Amino acid sequence: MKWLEPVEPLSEARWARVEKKVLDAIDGDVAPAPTSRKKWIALAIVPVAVAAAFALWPKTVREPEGARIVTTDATSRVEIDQSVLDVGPSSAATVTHEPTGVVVKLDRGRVECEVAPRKPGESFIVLAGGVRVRVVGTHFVVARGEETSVDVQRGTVEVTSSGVVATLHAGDHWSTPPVASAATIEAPPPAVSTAERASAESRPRATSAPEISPQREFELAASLEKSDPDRAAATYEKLVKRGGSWGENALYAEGRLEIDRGRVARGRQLLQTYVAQHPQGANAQDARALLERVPF
Amino acid sequence: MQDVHLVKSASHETLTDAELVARCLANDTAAQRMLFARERRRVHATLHRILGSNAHMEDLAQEAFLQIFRSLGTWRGEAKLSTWMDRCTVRVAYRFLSQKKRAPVLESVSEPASKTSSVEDRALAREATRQLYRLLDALAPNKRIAFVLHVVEGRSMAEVASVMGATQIATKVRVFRARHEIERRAKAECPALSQMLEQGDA
Repeated sequence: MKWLEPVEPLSEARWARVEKKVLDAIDGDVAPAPTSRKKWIALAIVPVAVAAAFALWPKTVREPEGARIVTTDATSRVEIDQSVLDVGPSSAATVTHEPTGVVVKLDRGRVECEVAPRKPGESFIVLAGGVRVRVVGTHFVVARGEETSVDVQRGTVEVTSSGVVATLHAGDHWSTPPVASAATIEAPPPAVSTAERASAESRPRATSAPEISPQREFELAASLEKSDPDRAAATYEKLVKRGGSWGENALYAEGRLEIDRGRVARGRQLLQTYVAQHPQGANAQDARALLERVPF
Repeated sequence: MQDVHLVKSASHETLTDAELVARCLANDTAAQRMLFARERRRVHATLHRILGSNAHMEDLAQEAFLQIFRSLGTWRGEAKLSTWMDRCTVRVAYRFLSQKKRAPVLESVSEPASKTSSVEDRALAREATRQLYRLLDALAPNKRIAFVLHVVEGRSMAEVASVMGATQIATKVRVFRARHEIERRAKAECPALSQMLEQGDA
Protein backbone atom coordinates (compact mmCIF):
# COMPACT_ATOMS: atom_id res chain seq x y z
CA MET A 1 0.00 0.00 0.00
CA LYS A 2 2.44 2.58 -1.22
CA TRP A 3 -0.35 5.11 -1.56
CA LEU A 4 -0.92 5.10 2.19
CA GLU A 5 0.07 8.28 3.92
CA PRO A 6 3.50 8.22 5.53
CA VAL A 7 3.94 7.89 9.26
CA GLU A 8 3.75 11.31 10.82
CA PRO A 9 6.90 11.89 12.83
CA LEU A 10 6.66 12.89 16.47
CA SER A 11 8.43 16.15 17.17
CA GLU A 12 11.77 16.13 18.99
CA ALA A 13 10.10 17.91 21.91
CA ARG A 14 7.57 15.10 22.24
CA TRP A 15 10.26 12.43 21.96
CA ALA A 16 12.26 14.20 24.65
CA ARG A 17 9.21 14.11 26.92
CA VAL A 18 8.66 10.41 26.25
CA GLU A 19 12.32 9.58 26.83
CA LYS A 20 12.41 11.44 30.13
CA LYS A 21 9.25 9.77 31.40
CA VAL A 22 10.48 6.33 30.37
CA LEU A 23 13.96 6.70 31.85
CA ASP A 24 12.56 8.17 35.06
CA ALA A 25 10.09 5.32 35.36
CA ILE A 26 12.63 2.56 34.81
CA ASP A 27 15.30 4.08 37.01
CA GLY A 28 16.58 1.02 38.85
CA ASP A 29 13.57 -0.94 37.68
CA VAL A 30 15.06 -2.87 34.75
CA ALA A 31 15.11 -6.63 35.20
CA PRO A 32 18.50 -8.02 36.23
CA ALA A 33 20.60 -9.38 33.38
CA PRO A 34 20.06 -13.09 33.13
CA THR A 35 22.79 -13.43 30.54
CA SER A 36 25.69 -12.05 32.51
CA ARG A 37 28.74 -14.25 32.09
CA LYS A 38 29.30 -14.81 35.80
CA LYS A 39 25.75 -15.98 36.22
CA TRP A 40 25.98 -18.44 33.35
CA ILE A 41 29.25 -19.83 34.65
CA ALA A 42 27.50 -20.45 37.96
CA LEU A 43 24.51 -21.98 36.20
CA ALA A 44 26.70 -24.23 34.09
CA ILE A 45 27.96 -25.77 37.30
CA VAL A 46 24.43 -26.48 38.50
CA PRO A 47 23.71 -29.57 36.37
CA VAL A 48 26.88 -31.23 37.61
CA ALA A 49 25.95 -30.38 41.16
CA VAL A 50 22.45 -31.72 40.59
CA ALA A 51 23.75 -35.00 39.21
CA ALA A 52 26.09 -35.38 42.15
CA ALA A 53 23.35 -34.48 44.60
CA PHE A 54 20.99 -37.09 43.20
CA ALA A 55 23.66 -39.77 43.18
CA LEU A 56 24.39 -39.15 46.84
CA TRP A 57 20.95 -38.16 48.11
CA PRO A 58 19.26 -40.78 50.28
CA LYS A 59 16.07 -41.90 48.57
CA THR A 60 13.89 -41.32 51.59
CA VAL A 61 14.99 -37.72 52.04
CA ARG A 62 12.86 -35.10 50.41
CA GLU A 63 14.68 -32.32 48.64
CA PRO A 64 13.17 -29.18 50.16
CA GLU A 65 14.02 -26.45 47.69
CA GLY A 66 14.56 -28.28 44.39
CA ALA A 67 17.55 -28.12 42.07
CA ARG A 68 17.34 -25.57 39.28
CA ILE A 69 18.84 -26.41 35.88
CA VAL A 70 19.21 -23.62 33.35
CA THR A 71 20.95 -24.22 30.04
CA THR A 72 22.27 -21.82 27.41
CA ASP A 73 23.25 -23.30 24.07
CA ALA A 74 24.02 -26.87 25.04
CA THR A 75 22.14 -29.82 26.46
CA SER A 76 22.78 -30.78 30.09
CA ARG A 77 22.38 -34.38 31.20
CA VAL A 78 21.22 -35.20 34.71
CA GLU A 79 21.12 -38.73 36.02
CA ILE A 80 18.43 -39.38 38.57
CA ASP A 81 18.55 -42.83 40.07
CA GLN A 82 18.71 -44.95 36.92
CA SER A 83 16.82 -42.45 34.80
CA VAL A 84 18.37 -39.83 32.56
CA LEU A 85 17.09 -36.32 32.00
CA ASP A 86 18.48 -34.32 29.07
CA VAL A 87 17.63 -30.64 29.49
CA GLY A 88 17.77 -29.09 26.01
CA PRO A 89 19.39 -25.81 25.01
CA SER A 90 17.80 -22.57 26.27
CA SER A 91 15.71 -24.51 28.78
CA ALA A 92 14.96 -24.17 32.47
CA ALA A 93 13.74 -26.90 34.77
CA THR A 94 13.52 -27.60 38.47
CA VAL A 95 13.97 -31.12 39.82
CA THR A 96 12.66 -32.11 43.24
CA HIS A 97 12.41 -35.37 45.13
CA GLU A 98 8.90 -35.79 46.46
CA PRO A 99 7.86 -38.64 48.75
CA THR A 100 6.07 -40.20 45.77
CA GLY A 101 8.94 -39.81 43.34
CA VAL A 102 10.77 -37.34 41.16
CA VAL A 103 9.07 -34.18 39.91
CA VAL A 104 10.56 -32.20 37.04
CA LYS A 105 9.01 -28.77 36.51
CA LEU A 106 9.76 -27.52 33.01
CA ASP A 107 9.63 -23.72 32.93
CA ARG A 108 10.69 -23.37 29.30
CA GLY A 109 12.39 -25.29 26.53
CA ARG A 110 12.62 -29.04 26.26
CA VAL A 111 13.44 -32.08 28.34
CA GLU A 112 14.05 -35.58 27.05
CA CYS A 113 13.47 -38.31 29.59
CA GLU A 114 14.73 -41.87 29.61
CA VAL A 115 12.91 -43.22 32.60
CA ALA A 116 13.85 -46.51 34.14
CA PRO A 117 10.95 -48.69 35.30
CA ARG A 118 9.74 -47.37 38.63
CA LYS A 119 8.95 -49.28 41.75
CA PRO A 120 5.28 -49.52 42.72
CA GLY A 121 4.11 -46.22 44.18
CA GLU A 122 7.16 -44.38 42.87
CA SER A 123 6.45 -41.97 40.04
CA PHE A 124 8.37 -39.75 37.67
CA ILE A 125 6.39 -36.64 36.78
CA VAL A 126 7.09 -33.82 34.36
CA LEU A 127 5.04 -30.65 34.77
CA ALA A 128 4.96 -28.25 31.81
CA GLY A 129 2.49 -25.47 32.52
CA GLY A 130 -0.96 -27.04 32.47
CA VAL A 131 0.38 -30.33 31.10
CA ARG A 132 1.30 -33.14 33.46
CA VAL A 133 3.22 -36.19 32.31
CA ARG A 134 3.37 -39.14 34.67
CA VAL A 135 5.45 -42.06 33.64
CA VAL A 136 6.47 -45.40 35.06
CA GLY A 137 9.05 -46.38 32.49
CA THR A 138 9.32 -45.08 28.95
CA HIS A 139 11.18 -42.61 26.79
CA PHE A 140 9.53 -39.36 25.80
CA VAL A 141 10.13 -35.67 25.15
CA VAL A 142 8.14 -32.75 26.55
CA ALA A 143 8.64 -29.36 24.94
CA ARG A 144 7.13 -26.14 26.25
CA GLY A 145 6.98 -23.06 24.05
CA GLU A 146 3.98 -21.37 22.48
CA GLU A 147 2.47 -24.81 22.64
CA THR A 148 3.27 -27.85 24.72
CA SER A 149 4.14 -31.01 22.84
CA VAL A 150 4.88 -34.62 23.72
CA ASP A 151 6.87 -37.03 21.54
CA VAL A 152 7.03 -40.67 22.55
CA GLN A 153 10.09 -42.69 21.55
CA ARG A 154 9.28 -45.85 23.48
CA GLY A 155 6.37 -47.14 25.49
CA THR A 156 2.88 -45.68 25.60
CA VAL A 157 1.41 -42.60 27.21
CA GLU A 158 -2.08 -41.26 27.50
CA VAL A 159 -2.74 -37.59 26.89
CA THR A 160 -5.83 -36.00 28.36
CA SER A 161 -6.71 -32.55 27.13
CA SER A 162 -10.05 -30.83 27.72
CA GLY A 163 -11.60 -34.20 28.45
CA VAL A 164 -10.35 -35.81 25.24
CA VAL A 165 -7.95 -38.70 25.69
CA ALA A 166 -5.37 -39.65 23.09
CA THR A 167 -3.17 -42.69 23.45
CA LEU A 168 0.31 -42.13 22.11
CA HIS A 169 2.58 -44.98 21.11
CA ALA A 170 6.22 -44.94 20.08
CA GLY A 171 6.71 -42.44 17.28
CA ASP A 172 3.57 -40.46 18.01
CA HIS A 173 3.52 -36.70 18.44
CA TRP A 174 0.95 -34.69 20.40
CA SER A 175 0.66 -30.98 20.99
CA THR A 176 -1.73 -28.49 22.52
CA PRO A 177 -3.37 -25.84 20.39
CA PRO A 178 -1.34 -22.58 20.26
CA VAL A 179 -3.19 -21.31 23.32
CA ALA A 180 -2.42 -24.17 25.67
CA SER A 181 -5.18 -25.68 27.72
CA ALA A 182 -4.81 -27.65 30.86
CA ALA A 183 -3.97 -31.24 30.10
CA THR A 184 -2.72 -34.32 31.84
CA ILE A 185 -0.67 -37.09 30.38
CA GLU A 186 -0.31 -40.39 32.09
CA ALA A 187 1.69 -43.38 31.12
CA PRO A 188 0.65 -46.96 31.68
CA PRO A 189 3.24 -49.46 32.96
CA PRO A 190 6.40 -49.71 30.87
CA ALA A 191 6.20 -53.08 29.25
CA VAL A 192 3.00 -52.91 27.20
CA SER A 193 2.25 -56.17 25.48
CA THR A 194 0.28 -56.34 22.26
CA ALA A 195 -2.69 -57.70 24.15
CA GLU A 196 -2.50 -54.96 26.72
CA ARG A 197 -2.21 -52.35 24.01
CA ALA A 198 -5.24 -53.75 22.23
CA SER A 199 -7.10 -53.71 25.50
CA ALA A 200 -6.09 -50.13 26.15
CA GLU A 201 -7.16 -49.07 22.69
CA SER A 202 -10.54 -50.71 23.10
CA ARG A 203 -11.36 -48.61 26.12
CA PRO A 204 -14.12 -46.17 25.30
CA ARG A 205 -12.23 -43.07 26.39
CA ALA A 206 -9.06 -43.89 24.50
CA THR A 207 -8.39 -42.85 20.95
CA SER A 208 -5.58 -44.17 18.82
CA ALA A 209 -4.69 -40.88 17.15
CA PRO A 210 -3.89 -37.50 18.70
CA GLU A 211 -6.86 -35.11 18.61
CA ILE A 212 -6.60 -31.69 17.10
CA SER A 213 -9.00 -28.94 17.97
CA PRO A 214 -11.80 -27.90 15.61
CA GLN A 215 -10.23 -24.47 15.38
CA ARG A 216 -6.96 -25.97 14.21
CA GLU A 217 -8.75 -28.14 11.70
CA PHE A 218 -10.59 -25.12 10.39
CA GLU A 219 -7.36 -23.18 10.05
CA LEU A 220 -5.78 -26.12 8.29
CA ALA A 221 -8.69 -26.27 5.85
CA ALA A 222 -8.44 -22.53 5.22
CA SER A 223 -4.77 -22.86 4.44
CA LEU A 224 -5.48 -25.68 1.96
CA GLU A 225 -8.12 -23.85 -0.03
CA LYS A 226 -5.77 -22.85 -2.81
CA SER A 227 -3.37 -25.78 -2.89
CA ASP A 228 -5.76 -28.64 -2.21
CA PRO A 229 -9.39 -27.48 -2.38
CA ASP A 230 -10.75 -31.04 -2.32
CA ARG A 231 -9.09 -31.72 0.99
CA ALA A 232 -10.12 -28.31 2.32
CA ALA A 233 -13.75 -29.01 1.41
CA ALA A 234 -13.57 -32.47 2.98
CA THR A 235 -12.19 -31.02 6.19
CA TYR A 236 -14.89 -28.37 6.29
CA GLU A 237 -17.45 -31.11 5.69
CA LYS A 238 -16.10 -33.06 8.64
CA LEU A 239 -16.33 -30.00 10.87
CA VAL A 240 -19.89 -29.33 9.72
CA LYS A 241 -20.89 -32.85 10.74
CA ARG A 242 -19.25 -32.32 14.11
CA GLY A 243 -21.34 -29.19 14.69
CA GLY A 244 -20.59 -26.42 17.17
CA SER A 245 -19.37 -22.94 16.34
CA TRP A 246 -16.55 -24.20 14.13
CA GLY A 247 -19.02 -26.38 12.30
CA GLU A 248 -21.10 -23.28 11.65
CA ASN A 249 -18.06 -21.42 10.33
CA ALA A 250 -17.09 -24.41 8.24
CA LEU A 251 -20.52 -24.61 6.63
CA TYR A 252 -20.19 -21.05 5.37
CA ALA A 253 -16.55 -21.53 4.38
CA GLU A 254 -17.36 -24.68 2.42
CA GLY A 255 -20.17 -22.92 0.59
CA ARG A 256 -17.93 -20.00 -0.29
CA LEU A 257 -15.15 -22.35 -1.38
CA GLU A 258 -17.43 -24.35 -3.62
CA ILE A 259 -18.66 -21.19 -5.34
CA ASP A 260 -15.09 -19.93 -5.68
CA ARG A 261 -14.11 -23.06 -7.55
CA GLY A 262 -17.12 -23.08 -9.84
CA ARG A 263 -19.36 -25.58 -8.07
CA VAL A 264 -22.09 -23.01 -7.84
CA ALA A 265 -25.06 -25.27 -7.23
CA ARG A 266 -23.34 -27.08 -4.38
CA GLY A 267 -22.06 -23.81 -2.95
CA ARG A 268 -25.48 -22.20 -3.07
CA GLN A 269 -27.02 -25.22 -1.40
CA LEU A 270 -24.52 -25.00 1.45
CA LEU A 271 -25.00 -21.27 1.88
CA GLN A 272 -28.78 -21.65 1.86
CA THR A 273 -28.43 -24.29 4.55
CA TYR A 274 -26.22 -21.92 6.51
CA VAL A 275 -28.71 -19.05 6.28
CA ALA A 276 -31.58 -21.34 7.24
CA GLN A 277 -29.77 -22.83 10.22
CA HIS A 278 -28.00 -19.68 11.39
CA PRO A 279 -30.06 -16.68 10.30
CA GLN A 280 -28.24 -14.50 12.83
CA GLY A 281 -24.86 -16.21 12.37
CA ALA A 282 -21.60 -14.31 12.05
CA ASN A 283 -21.48 -15.05 8.34
CA ALA A 284 -25.18 -14.80 7.57
CA GLN A 285 -24.89 -11.40 5.98
CA ASP A 286 -22.01 -12.50 3.78
CA ALA A 287 -23.84 -15.69 2.86
CA ARG A 288 -26.92 -13.77 1.77
CA ALA A 289 -24.79 -11.33 -0.21
CA LEU A 290 -23.04 -14.20 -1.97
CA LEU A 291 -26.34 -15.89 -2.77
CA GLU A 292 -27.64 -12.70 -4.30
CA ARG A 293 -24.49 -12.08 -6.27
CA VAL A 294 -23.90 -15.55 -7.68
CA PRO A 295 -26.31 -16.62 -10.45
CA PHE A 296 -27.91 -20.03 -10.48
CA MET B 1 32.15 3.26 35.44
CA GLN B 2 34.23 1.60 32.78
CA ASP B 3 31.10 0.22 31.15
CA VAL B 4 29.49 3.64 31.06
CA HIS B 5 32.55 5.10 29.41
CA LEU B 6 32.57 2.35 26.80
CA VAL B 7 28.94 2.87 25.95
CA LYS B 8 29.32 6.59 25.65
CA SER B 9 32.23 6.20 23.31
CA ALA B 10 30.62 3.50 21.21
CA SER B 11 28.66 4.39 18.11
CA HIS B 12 25.31 2.76 17.32
CA GLU B 13 27.02 0.48 14.86
CA THR B 14 29.72 -0.82 17.15
CA LEU B 15 27.46 -2.32 19.82
CA THR B 16 25.71 -5.55 19.07
CA ASP B 17 22.14 -6.07 20.22
CA ALA B 18 23.32 -8.41 22.96
CA GLU B 19 25.91 -5.94 24.22
CA LEU B 20 23.44 -3.09 24.21
CA VAL B 21 20.83 -5.14 26.06
CA ALA B 22 23.36 -6.30 28.63
CA ARG B 23 24.33 -2.71 29.35
CA CYS B 24 20.72 -1.60 29.59
CA LEU B 25 20.06 -4.39 32.06
CA ALA B 26 23.00 -3.18 34.09
CA ASN B 27 21.09 0.11 34.44
CA ASP B 28 23.51 1.94 32.20
CA THR B 29 21.58 5.10 31.37
CA ALA B 30 23.69 5.91 28.33
CA ALA B 31 22.90 2.51 26.85
CA GLN B 32 19.20 2.95 27.64
CA ARG B 33 19.24 6.29 25.86
CA MET B 34 21.02 4.71 22.93
CA LEU B 35 18.44 1.94 22.65
CA PHE B 36 15.63 4.45 22.90
CA ALA B 37 17.14 6.67 20.20
CA ARG B 38 17.88 3.72 17.93
CA GLU B 39 14.46 2.14 18.10
CA ARG B 40 12.04 5.02 18.63
CA ARG B 41 11.19 5.39 14.95
CA ARG B 42 10.49 1.69 14.60
CA VAL B 43 8.26 1.59 17.68
CA HIS B 44 6.40 4.68 16.58
CA ALA B 45 5.97 3.45 13.01
CA THR B 46 4.52 0.15 14.22
CA LEU B 47 2.08 1.89 16.54
CA HIS B 48 1.12 4.41 13.88
CA ARG B 49 0.50 1.80 11.21
CA ILE B 50 -1.66 -0.32 13.50
CA LEU B 51 -3.60 2.44 15.20
CA GLY B 52 -3.47 5.25 12.70
CA SER B 53 -2.88 8.83 13.60
CA ASN B 54 -4.23 9.47 17.07
CA ALA B 55 -3.90 11.75 20.02
CA HIS B 56 -2.68 9.00 22.36
CA MET B 57 0.49 8.35 20.39
CA GLU B 58 2.86 9.91 22.89
CA ASP B 59 1.41 7.88 25.76
CA LEU B 60 1.45 4.72 23.66
CA ALA B 61 5.10 5.17 22.68
CA GLN B 62 5.92 5.72 26.34
CA GLU B 63 4.02 2.59 27.33
CA ALA B 64 5.74 0.55 24.63
CA PHE B 65 9.20 1.61 25.76
CA LEU B 66 8.33 0.93 29.39
CA GLN B 67 7.26 -2.58 28.39
CA ILE B 68 10.43 -3.02 26.41
CA PHE B 69 12.77 -1.91 29.16
CA ARG B 70 10.95 -3.80 31.89
CA SER B 71 10.91 -7.02 29.86
CA LEU B 72 14.39 -6.69 28.45
CA GLY B 73 15.63 -9.43 30.77
CA THR B 74 13.43 -11.93 28.97
CA TRP B 75 15.06 -11.36 25.57
CA ARG B 76 17.15 -14.47 24.96
CA GLY B 77 18.61 -13.64 21.59
CA GLU B 78 16.51 -16.35 19.92
CA ALA B 79 14.68 -13.71 17.90
CA LYS B 80 16.19 -10.51 16.55
CA LEU B 81 15.95 -7.71 19.08
CA SER B 82 13.90 -5.67 16.63
CA THR B 83 11.37 -8.51 16.25
CA TRP B 84 11.18 -8.95 20.00
CA MET B 85 10.60 -5.21 20.42
CA ASP B 86 7.87 -5.37 17.79
CA ARG B 87 6.15 -8.01 19.94
CA CYS B 88 6.16 -5.68 22.94
CA THR B 89 4.88 -2.82 20.79
CA VAL B 90 2.14 -4.93 19.24
CA ARG B 91 1.01 -6.02 22.70
CA VAL B 92 0.63 -2.37 23.70
CA ALA B 93 -1.37 -1.68 20.53
CA TYR B 94 -3.47 -4.79 21.14
CA ARG B 95 -4.30 -3.71 24.69
CA PHE B 96 -5.22 -0.26 23.47
CA LEU B 97 -7.58 -1.73 20.87
CA SER B 98 -9.03 -4.26 23.30
CA GLN B 99 -9.95 -1.76 25.95
CA LYS B 100 -13.38 -0.21 25.91
CA LYS B 101 -14.36 0.72 22.42
CA ARG B 102 -12.74 4.08 22.02
CA ALA B 103 -13.94 6.70 19.67
CA PRO B 104 -10.99 7.30 17.39
CA VAL B 105 -9.27 10.52 18.34
CA LEU B 106 -7.74 11.66 15.11
CA GLU B 107 -5.15 14.33 14.89
CA SER B 108 -4.73 16.61 11.97
CA VAL B 109 -3.58 14.64 8.98
CA SER B 110 -0.34 15.70 7.38
CA GLU B 111 0.27 15.95 3.68
CA PRO B 112 1.65 12.85 2.02
CA ALA B 113 5.37 13.05 1.40
CA SER B 114 5.29 12.35 -2.30
CA LYS B 115 6.34 15.44 -4.21
CA THR B 116 5.32 14.06 -7.57
CA SER B 117 1.71 13.36 -6.69
CA SER B 118 -0.91 15.71 -7.93
CA VAL B 119 -3.18 17.55 -5.53
CA GLU B 120 -6.01 15.24 -6.55
CA ASP B 121 -3.90 12.14 -5.92
CA ARG B 122 -2.92 13.36 -2.48
CA ALA B 123 -6.49 14.17 -1.60
CA LEU B 124 -7.55 10.72 -2.76
CA ALA B 125 -4.77 9.04 -0.75
CA ARG B 126 -5.72 11.01 2.34
CA GLU B 127 -9.37 10.12 2.01
CA ALA B 128 -8.53 6.46 1.34
CA THR B 129 -6.29 6.35 4.41
CA ARG B 130 -9.05 7.83 6.54
CA GLN B 131 -11.54 5.30 5.20
CA LEU B 132 -9.13 2.40 5.70
CA TYR B 133 -8.66 3.22 9.39
CA ARG B 134 -12.41 3.63 9.81
CA LEU B 135 -12.87 0.09 8.48
CA LEU B 136 -9.96 -1.20 10.58
CA ASP B 137 -11.76 0.13 13.66
CA ALA B 138 -14.51 -2.40 12.99
CA LEU B 139 -12.15 -5.38 12.92
CA ALA B 140 -11.13 -7.52 15.89
CA PRO B 141 -7.71 -6.40 17.20
CA ASN B 142 -5.96 -9.62 16.13
CA LYS B 143 -7.27 -9.38 12.57
CA ARG B 144 -6.46 -5.70 12.39
CA ILE B 145 -2.89 -6.14 13.58
CA ALA B 146 -2.22 -9.12 11.29
CA PHE B 147 -3.64 -7.23 8.31
CA VAL B 148 -1.66 -4.06 8.99
CA LEU B 149 1.64 -5.83 9.57
CA HIS B 150 1.31 -8.04 6.49
CA VAL B 151 -0.64 -6.01 3.97
CA VAL B 152 0.17 -2.43 4.96
CA GLU B 153 3.73 -2.88 6.22
CA GLY B 154 4.57 -5.70 3.83
CA ARG B 155 6.07 -8.01 6.44
CA SER B 156 6.26 -11.72 5.70
CA MET B 157 3.61 -14.02 7.13
CA ALA B 158 6.29 -15.76 9.19
CA GLU B 159 7.42 -12.49 10.73
CA VAL B 160 3.87 -11.41 11.51
CA ALA B 161 3.19 -14.77 13.14
CA SER B 162 6.34 -14.43 15.21
CA VAL B 163 5.51 -10.88 16.28
CA MET B 164 1.96 -11.86 17.22
CA GLY B 165 2.95 -15.10 18.92
CA ALA B 166 0.59 -17.06 16.69
CA THR B 167 0.93 -19.89 14.19
CA GLN B 168 1.39 -19.01 10.55
CA ILE B 169 -1.91 -20.70 9.73
CA ALA B 170 -3.80 -18.64 12.28
CA THR B 171 -2.09 -15.51 11.00
CA LYS B 172 -2.99 -16.31 7.39
CA VAL B 173 -6.60 -16.84 8.36
CA ARG B 174 -6.68 -13.51 10.21
CA VAL B 175 -5.18 -11.67 7.24
CA PHE B 176 -7.49 -13.43 4.82
CA ARG B 177 -10.59 -12.55 6.80
CA ALA B 178 -9.50 -8.98 7.42
CA ARG B 179 -8.70 -8.45 3.75
CA HIS B 180 -12.01 -9.98 2.74
CA GLU B 181 -13.90 -7.74 5.13
CA ILE B 182 -12.01 -4.59 4.15
CA GLU B 183 -12.48 -5.22 0.42
CA ARG B 184 -16.14 -6.06 0.83
CA ARG B 185 -16.91 -2.95 2.86
CA ALA B 186 -14.69 -0.71 0.75
CA LYS B 187 -16.65 -1.65 -2.36
CA ALA B 188 -19.92 -0.90 -0.66
CA GLU B 189 -19.06 2.15 1.41
CA CYS B 190 -15.70 3.68 0.59
CA PRO B 191 -15.21 4.64 -3.05
CA ALA B 192 -11.83 6.32 -2.51
CA LEU B 193 -10.43 3.32 -0.68
CA SER B 194 -11.93 0.91 -3.18
CA GLN B 195 -10.30 2.82 -5.99
CA MET B 196 -6.89 2.74 -4.30
CA LEU B 197 -7.22 -0.96 -3.50
CA GLU B 198 -8.07 -1.72 -7.10
CA GLN B 199 -5.09 0.28 -8.31
CA GLY B 200 -2.87 -1.69 -5.95
CA ASP B 201 0.72 -0.56 -5.53
CA ALA B 202 1.39 -0.19 -9.18
